[in-house]
Amino acid sequence: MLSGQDLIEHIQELIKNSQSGEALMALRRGVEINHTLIENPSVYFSLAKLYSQINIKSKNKLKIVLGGEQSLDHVGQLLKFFLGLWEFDVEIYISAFGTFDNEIHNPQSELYRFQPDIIWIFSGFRDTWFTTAEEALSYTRQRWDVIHKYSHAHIIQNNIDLPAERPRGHIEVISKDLPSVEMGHFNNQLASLKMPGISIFDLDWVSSLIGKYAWSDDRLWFHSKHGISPSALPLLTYHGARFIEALQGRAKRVLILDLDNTLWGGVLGDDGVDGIQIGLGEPQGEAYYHFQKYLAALKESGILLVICSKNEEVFVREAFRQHADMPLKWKDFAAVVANWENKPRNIQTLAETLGLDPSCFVFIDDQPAERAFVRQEFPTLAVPELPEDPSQYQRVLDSYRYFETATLTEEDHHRTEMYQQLSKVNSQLRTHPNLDEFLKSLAMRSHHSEFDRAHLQRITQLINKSNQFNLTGLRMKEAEVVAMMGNPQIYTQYFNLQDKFTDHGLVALVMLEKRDQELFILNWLMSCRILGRGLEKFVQNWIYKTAKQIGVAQIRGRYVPSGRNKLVEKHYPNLGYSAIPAQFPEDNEWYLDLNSTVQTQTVYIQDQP
Amino acid sequence: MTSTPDVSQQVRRILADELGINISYVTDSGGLRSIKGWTSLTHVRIITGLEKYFQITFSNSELVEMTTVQKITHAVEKKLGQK
Repeated sequence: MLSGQDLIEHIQELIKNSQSGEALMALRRGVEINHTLIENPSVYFSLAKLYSQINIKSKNKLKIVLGGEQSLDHVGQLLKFFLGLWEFDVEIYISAFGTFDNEIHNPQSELYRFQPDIIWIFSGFRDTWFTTAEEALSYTRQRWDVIHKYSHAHIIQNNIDLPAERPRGHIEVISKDLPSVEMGHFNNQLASLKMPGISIFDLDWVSSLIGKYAWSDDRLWFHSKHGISPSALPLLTYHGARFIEALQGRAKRVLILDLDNTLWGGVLGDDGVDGIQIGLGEPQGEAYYHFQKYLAALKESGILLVICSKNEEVFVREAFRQHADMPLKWKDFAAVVANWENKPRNIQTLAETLGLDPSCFVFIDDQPAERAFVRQEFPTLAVPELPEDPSQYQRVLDSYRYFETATLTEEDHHRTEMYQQLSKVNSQLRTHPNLDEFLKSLAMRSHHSEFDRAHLQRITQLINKSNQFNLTGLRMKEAEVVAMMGNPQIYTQYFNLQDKFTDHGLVALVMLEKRDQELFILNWLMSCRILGRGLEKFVQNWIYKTAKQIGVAQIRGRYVPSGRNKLVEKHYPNLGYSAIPAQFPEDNEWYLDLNSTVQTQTVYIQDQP
Repeated sequence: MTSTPDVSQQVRRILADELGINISYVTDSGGLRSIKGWTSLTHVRIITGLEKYFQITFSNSELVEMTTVQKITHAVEKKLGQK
């Protein structure tokens, strides 16, 4: 671990030698390894300044408005820095002091001309003037309405950081009509609204992590309207950046876990099932027990747990099945890799089996050498710095905020089960001699329908999360999806898939637009976990039927390489589409003439009303 | 009143760190708006940086007056003398 000053000098050196790539990587890893420096604002402002000297342009452009009645420049600087480390190219717009409300009510304002992707309404107790929760709520909703009238931006709304001071002390928890009580009501009601296109940022939680006395300093508010102390800014903006990362569909999804001295104390191969430390009644065993409990809760929220350990699989299976005090069970893991291969190689295999990019993995291991090896081999894979004391594992992992979710969907809870099915079915796919027989034996059914409100969150999530089977890489915000739903020229459809093993849920989307005599495929995407089932052919048949019903002459589709969707490069020709002679090499368009004999695709999926 | 070289040097070091500039730009006569990067926003960080380093606390009125390197140095020395 480096001191803040050492880290700053190391980065300065790399920048001086104009090694931008190395400097950015060193910054990312430096911040990750020295996570405890988050209490030191001077270090972070210096690092942010160094970051601004690194000349690296990312393709992930993101425009963020910070709006509120307080000084937010420092929040903007650090937010840009953290998101920059994770490969977002961020532009920040902050309304001149006291003008935010004017700007959102004026469609011609600078704020809307900036064309933000995200508008973060950064309010707090300092700029809260209302007397009742109802009044505050109606005011807040008016702000949302007017923003959504003029912009497609996603809104992040702070709840209120409840102040430290309470004129009536402890009695306030049971009193009525007091400002702090009303603020509490407001926070509760805000949480229950669940409006599309709006995410609630729990500012009050962050303030309590810092401690209310340290969170806000009256002098700095009176002096220059700084509602949050400089010492709280790194943690606050780190949380904010992770939250925004999740909104962009880039939160981590897989947690790779070591076993010996990570999930239990001791070495299974040496100490045996009865010799390892896990369970209540003994301090070390309790530490691992609580860490496992925490991981079980992550799994419930939809994070995939995967074991990657140098061990014999039979012993590992025995440990999880036979040990009475083990909170995690064998079935909680989406995959188990216990062998003597090196870990990077095993991680590569895991990525391929699960069909996920290593950039959505987090790697947990008590051994510094293993962590270093994985960091070196996978530049974008997150590797938190685990302390030596297992009693701190839970807090440290939690503080990294890798697994933020900005919205909740039903499917998150069932993900592990679905991926287990995937590894099962994938191995059958490889071994089954007759694929058609196998697909038939799955007894697949698909329910499909045009986009609707009930599935809006899952639809938006799929649009923003799927990378590999995504023909254009086009991302859309919830509000844009809603706008599309109301457009009579656009035909949308989502597809669910079920088989005899499991319900995969909503796994494919297609959006079509009628343009004169043709039907243009705006985008087509599918979840990777159901590849090889022929669902794309089922979808193609639906597109074909729709085109016939509308009465157009041809269907046209487009493939836009995104760097991650090479999988579908030949998607259209595979379905019988012909290439449109390209004017430019990057034009990648294909058409299907409906007047010639077009055959429907053979599928083993039944329509389910 | 002349300041002790030791405290003066430490104050200049902290100012340079907070502003992210070379210490040679932090002259005694320089201050808010005349030194590059020193705005009312960075001022807040300078103050809290000094408070943390020297383990002192400035009052509301001192915050407003500490607008040059010299004034800041004197304010710090005064606080340290009171300790």
